[in-house]
Amino acid sequence: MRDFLKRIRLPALLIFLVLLTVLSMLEHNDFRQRINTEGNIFQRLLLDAARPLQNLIKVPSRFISGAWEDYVFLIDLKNDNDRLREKVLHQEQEIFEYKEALVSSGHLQRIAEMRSDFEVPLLPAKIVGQDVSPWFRSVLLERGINALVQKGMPVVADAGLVGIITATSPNTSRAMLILDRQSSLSGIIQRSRTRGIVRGDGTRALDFVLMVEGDDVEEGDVVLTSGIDGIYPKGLVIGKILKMKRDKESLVQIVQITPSVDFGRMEQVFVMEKRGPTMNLLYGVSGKPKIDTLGDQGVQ
Amino acid sequence: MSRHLIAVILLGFLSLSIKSVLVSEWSAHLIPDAVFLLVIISAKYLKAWTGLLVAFLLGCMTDVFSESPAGHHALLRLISFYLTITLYNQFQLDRTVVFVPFVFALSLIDSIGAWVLISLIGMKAGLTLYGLGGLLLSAFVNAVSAPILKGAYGFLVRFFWKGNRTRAVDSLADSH
Repeated sequence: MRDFLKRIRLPALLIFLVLLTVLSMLEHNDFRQRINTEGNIFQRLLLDAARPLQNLIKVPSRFISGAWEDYVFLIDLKNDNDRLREKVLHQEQEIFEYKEALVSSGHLQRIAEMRSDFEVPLLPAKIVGQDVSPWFRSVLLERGINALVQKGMPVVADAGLVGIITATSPNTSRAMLILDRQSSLSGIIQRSRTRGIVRGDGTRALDFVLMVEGDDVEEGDVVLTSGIDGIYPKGLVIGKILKMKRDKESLVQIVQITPSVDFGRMEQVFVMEKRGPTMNLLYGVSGKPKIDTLGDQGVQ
Repeated sequence: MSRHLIAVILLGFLSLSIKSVLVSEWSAHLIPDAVFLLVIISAKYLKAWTGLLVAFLLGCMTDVFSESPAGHHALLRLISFYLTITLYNQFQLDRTVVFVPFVFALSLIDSIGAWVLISLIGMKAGLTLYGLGGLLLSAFVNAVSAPILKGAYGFLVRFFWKGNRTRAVDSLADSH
């Protein structure tokens, strides 16, 4: 009997662990389920423990890759390039704001309403790490629950939309990038107001699925968030149309988008401290940020 | 043994933290999957049931550092560990000339297994020709770095535990 128990101990443990993993996967395969589940203590501990370590590793890592770029690819050329890129980025942003205001309505009141939609408190957060699996695209951020970051909050960068918070711990959070294959959002072409679905394809580009073949789309068109998915606010820049993917047999038209954000070079992002209505429905009211904590300190 | 187990878990945690930072600077395919290699190499030094637990825990840790559903990497690491202890003596994996192609093959199986699992549970996982090239490159990088990591692991075991080791591969043979 003892021998028998000893013999089945290993296969039994293996079967138990395999079942555990399969059940866990089935539980968390859906994005909505995953985002609606509170992170366990194991996850929170690991994410928080990794943060100082990642910050420590980041310094020599950045130094080596920075030195490589600076000295191998000529210092002046790179600095000039960075300065010009920054200038172009600012100018593009200004042009975009003017265009968006004009195209949206032309009425000052409506423009004012649109601007108020944009005025969401933004929390700066440094990126401390990226997804370790080649199948998924996410980043680890240096801000967590203690900084009022919650699951479902949109993440943006100066150049445009980045993704959404999917996991939080007291001092760290994880954001799924729009490049991830599980990411899907509603987009609109700024020029023609044509709507479609923007999907991540796991690479550095995005797919824009248009419902009607022959919709008014041209290469170079700017794609923005439409806001109707209730996840991301309206008017955030997603990217530019790169090329058409013609498929005569398909009823839908798919075009490729180059994201406006350079995900490879991204170092800092901003967490929008306001969730969309869909996310609020998913979470209920309990997840509302407590902004009055500063007031309490003031009374003391 | 418990010190050894904690050491492996900490090494895995360190590897994941390093990898998550390095991925921002270099291509993911050029960075060896140290946790995967740790699971395979530890098969030589840990008891089978301890090794299974280590593989499971390291897999769960990888899931935390990734957008993957909880359990995804844990299952893959369990399979990798079980395949290693089952085939270790049969293929004489102690020999580097066999160990390197074994790691290459297992790394490919692991990657394709990841793709199959993601697809099976209803998530999107496109595998293009470019992606397949990346998987081959990852497997090659893992295979090349495996003997180095194996040597370093063996040195640590000899240094800290003076060769006092229990082989998962032997304990598996005892149980049969």
